[in-house]
Amino acid sequence: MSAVVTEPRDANLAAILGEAPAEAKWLRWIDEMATRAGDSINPILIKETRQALKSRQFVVTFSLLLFAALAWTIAGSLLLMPQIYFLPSAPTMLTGYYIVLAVPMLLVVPLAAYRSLEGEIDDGTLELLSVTSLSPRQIVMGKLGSAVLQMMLYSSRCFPALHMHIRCVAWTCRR
Amino acid sequence: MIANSKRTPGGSIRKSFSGMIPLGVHQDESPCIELRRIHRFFGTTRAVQDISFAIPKGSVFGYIGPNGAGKTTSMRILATLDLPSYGEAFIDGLSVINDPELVRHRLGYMPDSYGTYRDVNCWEYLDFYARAYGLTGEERLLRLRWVLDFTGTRKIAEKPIRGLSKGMKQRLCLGRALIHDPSVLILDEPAAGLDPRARIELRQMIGELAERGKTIIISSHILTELAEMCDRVGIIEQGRLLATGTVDEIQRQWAEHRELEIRLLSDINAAANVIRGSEHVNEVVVAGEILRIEFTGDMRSQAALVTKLVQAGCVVAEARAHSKSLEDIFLQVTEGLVQ
Repeated sequence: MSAVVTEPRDANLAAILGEAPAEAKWLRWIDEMATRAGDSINPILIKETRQALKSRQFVVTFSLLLFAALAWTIAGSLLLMPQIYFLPSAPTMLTGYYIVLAVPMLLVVPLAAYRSLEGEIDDGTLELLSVTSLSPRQIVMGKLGSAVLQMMLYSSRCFPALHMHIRCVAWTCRR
Repeated sequence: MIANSKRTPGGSIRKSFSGMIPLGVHQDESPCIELRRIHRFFGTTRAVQDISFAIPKGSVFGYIGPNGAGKTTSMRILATLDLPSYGEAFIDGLSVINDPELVRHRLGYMPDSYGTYRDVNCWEYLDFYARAYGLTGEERLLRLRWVLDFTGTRKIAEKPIRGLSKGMKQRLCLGRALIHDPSVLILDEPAAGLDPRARIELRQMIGELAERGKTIIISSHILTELAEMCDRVGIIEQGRLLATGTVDEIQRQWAEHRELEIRLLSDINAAANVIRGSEHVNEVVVAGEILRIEFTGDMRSQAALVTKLVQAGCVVAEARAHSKSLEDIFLQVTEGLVQ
């Protein structure tokens, strides 16, 4: 007999659809706090981040970045052999990571932010935004904030590779 | 007086449900929407010229005109998206020029384009606009729940907008316009491209909103639809308002000639000869056993005409005047000119 697996839902949506709230008291408390915190965040930032994280562009860039960072970890480590055991390897390795990160940081994210703003004009959604309570400043700041958030997420993708590099060097040094 | 107001992330002051003036419905008996001598010029093009009308609370006003007549321009002025070159417009007694921020809280605007986002599902879309209008916490959840129920989009709440049909997208966009419980709705071509079922459902929703006291201004090219759902209509061409009032009022105002149909059981050609040359009769056409008469007189002259036929020995089985449809009136009033 197969168990029915339900997809975890957003707490807000569950509340809207009249579904039972989370059982545990502490989970409900977290839900409430998250809702309150969410209410004080720029709506554009929330919308843009939701949109960006679901987009194909983000998935592809994120995967490629991870792959490139891991590839550089292996390639960089091999290139620096055998000096890697007795000379500092961090400057060269970090330069490689910066180059890998430069592609999304300097190209993908700014272009996506520009496209998002342009899309608002082309799709006629800017007019709809202008009849809401949002100010032009909030719209622009929300979009920039989302771009910064995406940059932070992309940067975090290099950390596992960096960690792997350090652990490998430490492990081989001990041997 | 602003009571129980709070500053929201949307950046504006919004009154709470327990406030002095609830937002959802226009409160007094003064016109809910009013345009006073509105003009809008784009260079040498006069998009809107001297348009004035008032719409009372809870009415559905149909705005009719050919493409390029100035409907969207005047609707955009009402929606605070454009400024008139001259004149004033009021929503709920507030000037769209001087108090646009307050007006925006009172109106829901639905343009002729859907205005949806990629990679967003239905509830995320509505949730975003609820936040953008400054709704927070429980109030936002209640409004979202109501909108999903009212527009029948609850079942598709988690579906991406990209995959929705036109009808569903239109429902969602109506939901977006309703999310902050406005007292006035401005709907620009909401029925465009919808199938008959979706149009009927949209009509029902608009009717229900009017019953709830919302004042609605709606433009459409589907005149039969408008005639059924609107209390009043305004016909605009080349930026000028040519006629305004109920369909009956406009009909009376513009009824230069009517068509009478008389079914006869006696010799129809003899009857046609009796009628021809009579006062107010322009043209007489014989179609089988029916006599079609183009007539310019009033009801009394119409009765006199039938009496004349009876006195001449004609056997009149049926006599009826064709009331003009909104389409007929539209064709009569407008000349099909564009700027």
